[in-house]
Amino acid sequence: MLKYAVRKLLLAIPLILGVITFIFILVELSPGDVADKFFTPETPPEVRQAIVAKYQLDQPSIVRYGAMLKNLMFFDFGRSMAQERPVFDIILETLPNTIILSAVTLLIIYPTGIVVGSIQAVRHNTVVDTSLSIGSLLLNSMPSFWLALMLQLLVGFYWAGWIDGQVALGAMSAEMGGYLTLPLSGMQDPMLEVVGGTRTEVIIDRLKHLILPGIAMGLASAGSTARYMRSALLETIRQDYIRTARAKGLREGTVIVKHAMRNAMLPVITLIGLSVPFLFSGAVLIETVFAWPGMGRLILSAIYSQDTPLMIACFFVFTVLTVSGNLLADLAYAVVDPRIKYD
Amino acid sequence: MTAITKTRSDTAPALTRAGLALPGLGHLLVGEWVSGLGLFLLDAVLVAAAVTGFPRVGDILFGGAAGSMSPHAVLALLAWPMLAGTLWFTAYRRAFPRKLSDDEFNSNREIFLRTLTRHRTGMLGFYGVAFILLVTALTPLLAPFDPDIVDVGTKNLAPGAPFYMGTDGFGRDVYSRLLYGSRISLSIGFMAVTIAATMGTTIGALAAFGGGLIDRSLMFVTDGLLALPKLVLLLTIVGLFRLQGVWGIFLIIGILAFTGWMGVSRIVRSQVLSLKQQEFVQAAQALGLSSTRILFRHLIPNALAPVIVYCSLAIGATMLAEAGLSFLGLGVPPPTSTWGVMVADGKDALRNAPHVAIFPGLAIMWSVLSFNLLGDGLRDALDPKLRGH
Amino acid sequence: MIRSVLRLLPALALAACSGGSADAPSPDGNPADPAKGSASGTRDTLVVAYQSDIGYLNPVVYETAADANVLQNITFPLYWPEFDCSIKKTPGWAKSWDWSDDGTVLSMELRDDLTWEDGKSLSTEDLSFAYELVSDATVGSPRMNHIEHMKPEGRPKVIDATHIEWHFTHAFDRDTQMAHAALGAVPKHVFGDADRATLRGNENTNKPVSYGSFRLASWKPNESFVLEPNPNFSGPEEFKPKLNRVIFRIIPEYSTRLIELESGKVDLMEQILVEDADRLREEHPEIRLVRRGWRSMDYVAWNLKNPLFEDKKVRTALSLAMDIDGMIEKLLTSKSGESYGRRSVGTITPALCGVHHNDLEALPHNAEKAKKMLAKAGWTDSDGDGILDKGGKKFSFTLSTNTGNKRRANTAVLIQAQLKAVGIEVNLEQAESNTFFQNLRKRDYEAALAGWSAALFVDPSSFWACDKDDHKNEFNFTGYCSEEVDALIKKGLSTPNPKDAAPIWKELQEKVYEDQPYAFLWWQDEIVGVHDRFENVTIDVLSTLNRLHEWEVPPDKVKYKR
Repeated sequence: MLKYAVRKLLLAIPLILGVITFIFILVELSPGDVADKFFTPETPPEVRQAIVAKYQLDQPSIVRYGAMLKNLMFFDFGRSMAQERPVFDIILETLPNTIILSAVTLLIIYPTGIVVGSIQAVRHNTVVDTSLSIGSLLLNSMPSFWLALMLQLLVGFYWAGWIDGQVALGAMSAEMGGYLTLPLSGMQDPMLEVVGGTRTEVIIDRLKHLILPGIAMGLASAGSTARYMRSALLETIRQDYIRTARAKGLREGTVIVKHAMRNAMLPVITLIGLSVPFLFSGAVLIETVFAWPGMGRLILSAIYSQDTPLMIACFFVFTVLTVSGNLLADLAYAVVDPRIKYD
Repeated sequence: MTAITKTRSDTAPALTRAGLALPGLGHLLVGEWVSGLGLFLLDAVLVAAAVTGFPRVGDILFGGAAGSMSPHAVLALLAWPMLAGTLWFTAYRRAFPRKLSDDEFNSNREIFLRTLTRHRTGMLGFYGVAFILLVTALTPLLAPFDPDIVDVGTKNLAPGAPFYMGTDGFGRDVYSRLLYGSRISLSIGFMAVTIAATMGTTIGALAAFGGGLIDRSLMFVTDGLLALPKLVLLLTIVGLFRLQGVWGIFLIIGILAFTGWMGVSRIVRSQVLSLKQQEFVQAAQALGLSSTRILFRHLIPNALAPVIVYCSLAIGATMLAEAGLSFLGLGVPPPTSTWGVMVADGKDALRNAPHVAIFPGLAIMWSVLSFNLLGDGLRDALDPKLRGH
Repeated sequence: MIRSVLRLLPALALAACSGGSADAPSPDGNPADPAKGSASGTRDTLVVAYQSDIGYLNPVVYETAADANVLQNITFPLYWPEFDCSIKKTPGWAKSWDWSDDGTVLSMELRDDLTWEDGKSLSTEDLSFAYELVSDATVGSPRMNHIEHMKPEGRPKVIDATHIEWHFTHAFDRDTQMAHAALGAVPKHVFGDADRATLRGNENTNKPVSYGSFRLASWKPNESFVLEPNPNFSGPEEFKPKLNRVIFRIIPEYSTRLIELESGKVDLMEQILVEDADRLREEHPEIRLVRRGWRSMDYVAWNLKNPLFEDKKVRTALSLAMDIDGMIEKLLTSKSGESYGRRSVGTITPALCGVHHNDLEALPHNAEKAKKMLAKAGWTDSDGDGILDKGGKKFSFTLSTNTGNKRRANTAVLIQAQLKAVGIEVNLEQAESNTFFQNLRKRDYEAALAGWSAALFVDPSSFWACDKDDHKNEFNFTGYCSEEVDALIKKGLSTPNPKDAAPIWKELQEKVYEDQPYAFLWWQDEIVGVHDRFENVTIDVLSTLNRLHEWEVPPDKVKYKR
């Protein structure tokens, strides 16, 4: 097992190197002078010199490539042009936020998808199955930012309006109304931070802020997970060993959960691992709509402000995360599937 | 001799002849509601086009910028009778099916067609796609206004005659813009996917056929690019290369293709790998046919089936990606208007004039959904395990 | 640097708890005492929705609007401005001020009772230090035009701890002189030894030491920043804030900001679109809509070095081809017919009513005349492709503008359509604000659709003073150069009495408008939405948030009791 893991890890490294080379080529090929990409007209000459030295900007491409590799390997991301701060600090601040959002999707939405898909398979071809299928298809076909905007509108206008109505009528206490109100943007209520709430209040506040963006990010993924789980489970159920299990007199529940699902989950887990890139892509759009201060928004602002050091670093971080995600999926797969031989 | 043991008849129930009067009616009357409704939908498009378009034929033909004939308009006018004929012919064939010999009946082609047409969701997708294509072809007949002219109506007007989908922030008719936008959105989708498919097929086939180092290096590149989050890659490239005008559109198509070929190459590679072992390849090699010939005339055509399925799904994904880029302001540069651009334009007005963003959003959804369903249908129809139902 | 990697791990682990923040220090190192001012919920909190984050909180190098707003409240200005056709001044840090007879020396007496929040006394040294930084080229301050007309020995000259003088090279408009003298102070005891070249990135830049009514209590980059009353403010009682705090939430998407405003989660939002004004008025009577008049204008700058735009008649034709009044109606008029824009005929704002040339007629929309003028200048469509050409070259150019401004994006599309109608091909391009302005300054553009937030004192030199090459006039993006106008500028700037200077400025406006270095578009009102429980709110042409210490909420309407 260890050898397998190490081998996979070793394979990941040339992959990351390859991606770094790719981004280097992109930056080299892109129009505009080097000067514009790494410093602004206001940059004082000493700073300019330091940057040129660090990135070997006055040297031939190969040397520049080497310099970039060296910098990235030591996580020396340089200074952001737009924010005049070390890029590493900026990424350190924003990365956890993206991870939190992605974690919610991974830990909550995917299992939900698996469960829903299983229900669909078990209740194959019934109304439940068909309506869930249609639902997930529709969700998959929607532009994710559109879904996000609609959700915001729905909650901000209709749900909030309903709550206000109830409170006005006296059917609900203002306090309850407060609890039920969902935040529409941001990661936390700055008020709590400033005024200081109890530990519980802070946690609940954070969780509430996760709801809308999490749902927006997760709905489409849940839909496709459900579809894969459904077809995987359907196929597994048809297999002979399931018939045997039933013939043996095992309860349907045990048959499904203990035998069928375990086997059906394998391709689904790989799928989840492979959709890590989609999570990060989706993060850009969702983070923009919900003002979530994560890496998605960061790379977007790096692009808007043509902040090359920040762009390269963000790209690099995304890649490392994605490759790690795939790696973890491979390892998880190996753990779950006893048929894999580690050689 | 025949593999199929089912009985089949060469005649169709009499009720299907109702389709000769109105394509789709025949299908409905015998309970094939998907095809029936689908054909009705297409009929409706033709009728709408005729009703709104024929009275204005002169304007449509000669209403171009310099008074010249618009090629799209000519095409639309030529397409109408052809499409009407096709619909009618479909109804005719349902009522009077072709007499097939046993061999023909069991040919791969017939089996494929039968499986596909019986796949309900696949056919839903098919008619959805047909609807969009029809609408795109007949746009000049259907669109009451020039999509780019500002101020045909007060801005942000809610839907109502004569602006069936209201007007946008510039006073342009949303319905007309939606119709003309379909041309561009679909073109971008098709072109990107076609380029991606071509690139992917070539690379995948080369990798599988070449084997060894070629295979490993090509797959290394493929896997590497697959490892990248697509939108991030798109954004970075757009961000670094900001091209304007027409070049901007080509850039978008190019990068959408560039981020899409990897899936195709993997599929083609695994297909070719398995085909390589088969006898007909060895026979060809024994006969002394050149590698290229084997590759292009034998291996690739046989590997294409899953590629087509993938493409169908990919068109949807490409359209969504384009919409996402436009939303972020990094998509197709103005004045081109794709559906994605329309949604982006309407996003600030969601509270006042939600229709500006909703209709193009629905159009995107419809397209993506249809292509996905069609892709599912194609996949099931091409899958040997499911055939012959 | 491996240590940096290890730093990453605990940060991830603590993600759920902290999410990363940068807290500003308080004098005693502890976070601001929450018990202050929260007694029995009589004071409220103001929540503002902001589009972008803080950049640099230093009066010498700040650039963004967010910076300006924060700085206004963490410093105690020399004078408090009020606007009524021109700026009226009430003493602030400066108790009194006077001019020498020849108008070249401005002397001020400053209060002696103000202190920095860390206890150190505020003195003229700190003010002078700010100017020292501005003069130092390594800092690269965007405010160098403040010292342009000051003598080296008098920028400023410190007499003693409370007396200071500015020596100008010549007498000119006194409001402008005062404005040039009114930079904020920079604490010498904090930045005295700082490396000037990396001032922007200095770790203390965004942990500013306040000497004003508020202090920066916390800053979560890209999320929020909070201003709280400065507990060590030593100025007059009436400048002590009546709010508990002001929270700025950074929300880049317009529709998200709007929905937060409408759902009551946010109390103030700037730059509300005209389209939303009517609806807000109807559906949300609790949100007060305030107009900030004629402070910003949009224009199209023609790069005068580009052969297409060399001829004044061609430029005039371009303006004639644009339907500017129509665009105002389309983009700046609400459904109910209320207009939030007016034609611009120069860079002097109509708010400066004494000086603005109210009688100068703006060019009408006349596409026919435009075509004729272009034809006369040699532009015809010789190849029938719908685009004018001359000598083999097509009349085609790129109009660039900055991203993030919906109105400008819409304007660009309209201009493109209007110019197409007379045979001119316009390609549109968008660049992010910083890049965009850099390109303007480098004159690396063909035509640019941009805007100015006009100064409230008259100084056209930054726009129109001739600057052929060495970019001393950073804002002369077009490369405009006219001897007549230069003479007028000189004359006007050396006429201290505003009443006498007015006719000179009017003549300048006429001349510049005739030369059409810009296609002058319009001045617009900005619409700001404030929750109506806030009283004593001054939102006007000067600023939205520069008198936050006056804002208050009656005890029965307090929303955030803690």
